[in-house]
Amino acid sequence: MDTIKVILIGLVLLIFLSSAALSHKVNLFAYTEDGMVYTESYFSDGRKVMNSTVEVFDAKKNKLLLTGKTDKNGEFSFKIPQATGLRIVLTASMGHKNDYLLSEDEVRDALGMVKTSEKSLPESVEREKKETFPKSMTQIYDSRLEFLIEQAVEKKTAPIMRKLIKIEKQIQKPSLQEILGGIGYILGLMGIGIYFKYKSKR
Amino acid sequence: MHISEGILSAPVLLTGVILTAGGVSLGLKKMDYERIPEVAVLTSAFFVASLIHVPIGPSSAHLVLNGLMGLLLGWIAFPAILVGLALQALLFQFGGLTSLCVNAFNMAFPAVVSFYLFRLFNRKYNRYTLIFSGFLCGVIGILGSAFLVALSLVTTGEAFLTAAKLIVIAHLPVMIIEGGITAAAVVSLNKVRPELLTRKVKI
Repeated sequence: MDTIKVILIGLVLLIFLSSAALSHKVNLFAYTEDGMVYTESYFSDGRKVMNSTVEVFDAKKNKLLLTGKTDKNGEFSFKIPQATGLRIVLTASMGHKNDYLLSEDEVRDALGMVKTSEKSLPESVEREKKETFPKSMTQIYDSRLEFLIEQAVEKKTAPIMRKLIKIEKQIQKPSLQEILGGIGYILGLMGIGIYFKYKSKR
Repeated sequence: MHISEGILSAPVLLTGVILTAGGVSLGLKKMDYERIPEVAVLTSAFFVASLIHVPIGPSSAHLVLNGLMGLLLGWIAFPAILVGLALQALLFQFGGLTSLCVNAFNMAFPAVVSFYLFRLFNRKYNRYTLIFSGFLCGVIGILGSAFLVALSLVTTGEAFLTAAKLIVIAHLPVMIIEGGITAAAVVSLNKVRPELLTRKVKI
């Protein structure tokens, strides 16, 4: 039983080592901004995926829309080709592949096709606006205000966005539960194996 | 080393299924009652080893330990690696379920090769042949897998030589580390349980 003990101790060590160092699978993450789609790709240890093919498909019709290559930061950006859902597929070397789905809503949002400006302001605000500003100025007031609000919102949400990307990266890493769970499955299979072999021996 | 879902074509996947099924059935036949715990422990080691990333070299590579599994388990490496890979695919999303059998063959076949190689070198063995052949088996495990992965990727349009070169270069540091680990494991096993290493080759 000495060997088994040695290997078991090794196994425990491996688990602790592995929490710091992780292995390989490619991840792809995409977000939209101002009519552009930005993609980031990295191996699950955080290393950037350089010079790999990115293909963009129409999510519904599965039609290839455009292709490109990631730069040395693992990034690739492109202008939104059409207002449908987009499936972005990354093919890295050595048989690694992953994809990311941008929903139609997100794409439309980025193109500014959701017409928020059509929603009218509450009547009281409308009246106040008319009283305070002459008509020619309300238009400037509107667009200026929209710009300011957008800027403020962006400033406030940027840290949240970063946090989200970080969380997404973390989710993709194997957790301790998954590692222990896998070992549990193997021990379970061992039990099953022993059960059947034992019966057949008698 | 793990080929992802949706890369390989159907004929390659099917070939993988057939070859792996053959290896697994042979392995299960050879798996005696007494050996099951040993197989399970080595499978767990294989399952966890893929999480140990080797941060040297141009690409992302990790330990595989198929050389060590092979020289201890022989054909039983097939079922063991298949189980390990299935759990890696399900829990860590390494590789994919459709490419499972191809991946299993790519890793298990070099393992079986290292089993015979190890016995070839150790008909009469001493400390040095053990260290040398242990190191060699660790290297062969990775090198063989790298070639088989390149071969599997040929049908996807990646030229064999370029792909093979890329994969081998990416795994050079892993090869050396695995060689060292395997050699160290063999030497320490020779001290505590020498019968594991001299086990007869059953064909």
